[in-house]
Amino acid sequence: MEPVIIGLVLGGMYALLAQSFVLTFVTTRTLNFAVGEFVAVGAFATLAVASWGWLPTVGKIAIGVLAAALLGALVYRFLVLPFTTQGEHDVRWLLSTVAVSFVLLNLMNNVEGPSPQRSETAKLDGAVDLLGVGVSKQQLLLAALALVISLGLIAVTQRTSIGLVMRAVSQDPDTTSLMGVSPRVVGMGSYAVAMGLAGLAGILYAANVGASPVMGEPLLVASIAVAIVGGLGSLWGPLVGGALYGVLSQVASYQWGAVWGETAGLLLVIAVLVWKPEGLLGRRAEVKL
Amino acid sequence: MTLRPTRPRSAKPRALQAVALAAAAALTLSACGGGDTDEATGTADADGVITVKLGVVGPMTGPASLYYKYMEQDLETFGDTFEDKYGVRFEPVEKDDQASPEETARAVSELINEDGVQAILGPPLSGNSLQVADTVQRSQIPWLLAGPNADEIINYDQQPNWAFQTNFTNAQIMNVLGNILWADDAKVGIVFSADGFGQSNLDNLKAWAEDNGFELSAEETIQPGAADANAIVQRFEDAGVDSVFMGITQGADTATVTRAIEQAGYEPSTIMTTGTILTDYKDVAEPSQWENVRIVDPRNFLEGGDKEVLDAVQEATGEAPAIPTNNISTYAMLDIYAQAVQEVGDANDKEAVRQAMEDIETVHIGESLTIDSPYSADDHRLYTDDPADWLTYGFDENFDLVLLGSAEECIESGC
Repeated sequence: MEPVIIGLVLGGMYALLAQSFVLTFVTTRTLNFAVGEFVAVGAFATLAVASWGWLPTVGKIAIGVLAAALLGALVYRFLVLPFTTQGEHDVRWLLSTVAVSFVLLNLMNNVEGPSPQRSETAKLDGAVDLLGVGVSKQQLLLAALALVISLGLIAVTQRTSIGLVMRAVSQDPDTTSLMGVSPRVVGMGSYAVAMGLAGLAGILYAANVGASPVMGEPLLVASIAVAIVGGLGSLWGPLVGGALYGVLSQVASYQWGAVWGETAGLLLVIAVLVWKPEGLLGRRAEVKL
Repeated sequence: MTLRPTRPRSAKPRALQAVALAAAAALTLSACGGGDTDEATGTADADGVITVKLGVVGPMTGPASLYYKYMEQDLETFGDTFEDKYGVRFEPVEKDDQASPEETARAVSELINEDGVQAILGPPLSGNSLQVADTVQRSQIPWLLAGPNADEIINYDQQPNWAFQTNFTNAQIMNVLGNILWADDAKVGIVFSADGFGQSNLDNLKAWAEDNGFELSAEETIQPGAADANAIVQRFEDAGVDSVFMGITQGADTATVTRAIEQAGYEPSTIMTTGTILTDYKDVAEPSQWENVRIVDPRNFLEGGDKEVLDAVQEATGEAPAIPTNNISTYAMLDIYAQAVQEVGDANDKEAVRQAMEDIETVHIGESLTIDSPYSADDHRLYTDDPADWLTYGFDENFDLVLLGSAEECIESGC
């Protein structure tokens, strides 16, 4: 039972980050490979205001989220959008987002140094007993937040006009723009929300492991894997992918040792790519010629 | 003194590495730093000062940059000290290996073939040192290894040998730790980082156990930056492990393990680790997680020459010693090399300098600590593995070290 519980909790944490990939993909058909650094941006922005005693914890978290969101919107406008202008086969954005990753990493290393810094904002000490298993309160908070945020995003995209616009831009940006909707603005909005989520994950994760420039890096592989398993085109995908990836990797770790945990999760990715390349909940796109 | 090149991370996801390389190439602004080499003749100038062109290689940038910083701190703090004591001035030629073995190989090759350095300090990481061990040995240049712990770096079958260590080696610490870990026939488990340091810890602990009729009950690896270690702890509990050794490079990863130990309510009778816990651990752990953790080390961080070195670094740089153990080891290494150069009078006569290092009579650490005749042809290690010469430390609630006695006392009566 323990690996299942721990796996679900860890999977939830990965799902929160995976949602960042899914959000940008469903609206702009791009992925931001600098998500790991946005995790750190959120953590460091909150750390910068951590000593402001007059600001409540929620305000400090909001500053971290907004910093990551604003930077995310700017990155889309100036470093992603210009590299997507030559049609759907134009993948120069891949290089530019990797470049953003390096630039942010170097900036943070030079400004903040490589060592982890203690972060007390939104920190929950200790563990809770969940079906007889001791689970870190901090990780449980991350998992619960992933669930709530995912459900909220699904509700917004399916039941509001904003969601309708997002889906329309995703399916046919040219036609949508003829109807007065700016795909550029929608893209910037998606990146802002997605990177804000990454920043939020960073703030909460930093309370556990400290804020450091590379803190998001170890989560990146798992998060991409979760997004692929669940399906990059589905907001439900990260929840399903996170649960499967988390439980499988933990069961493998408990059974055969930690070295096999990530390996098992990545084998799952390969299996899904072979069996259902669009992901478990993704839809296969059919193009009429 | 230092140019800081833009660098890629060393552990990008594999799927991105090809792209990463391209992006890194586009972003790289400069390759390395270097000093003014005009004065570094290796012989005495008009003032009687011998300026040595010293190659310094390590992860100048990136997540592991603390492993470079301690060398910078020591050179900055003690440059004048060695010039005053021995008439030897160090002119560093710095290379950034980004903690990548391939970059280490390139950097060392440049130092030897293009920069013409008279000695090489670093790299500080065992895996990277192993990568270039044959190259340096073949090139016949004094190799100053103040950081790496791996025994495998020096192959004593190759004589004369050009590598010298001033940190303890993994085999040495395992001789001390093994006696503590297996006291009262305890069941022992090791969690080790997935890198050269961790692997060397595992190999040496297993070797010691085999030589002494014991066996490991569990061995687990932890990836750098792992999100959790719950499975590791559970497997230790399932195996009945009551004596844990953490051979982990990064203090932050050690914190992940101690956090999981606390979370699981796991209470092994012994938890030992190495001095690496002194770096990057305190800020990501809680007092309840370190209260039962112990380390052993041949250095006395709380008084005497070792402490003098650490205090001097703090005073001169205005910051804490980056890796206290290695700050001390680097001082000892520079002291040995400077004495050898002074004795020979010409840093270009590398074989004579190497021999003088091997024959060194007294190593000075700070003002008040000396170690006599540590080296011989088949032993280039500064410390011994006698538990009586090692110290056991715990930590108070502020993570300040608390001396618990010698390792020998710890073995005999618990610690």
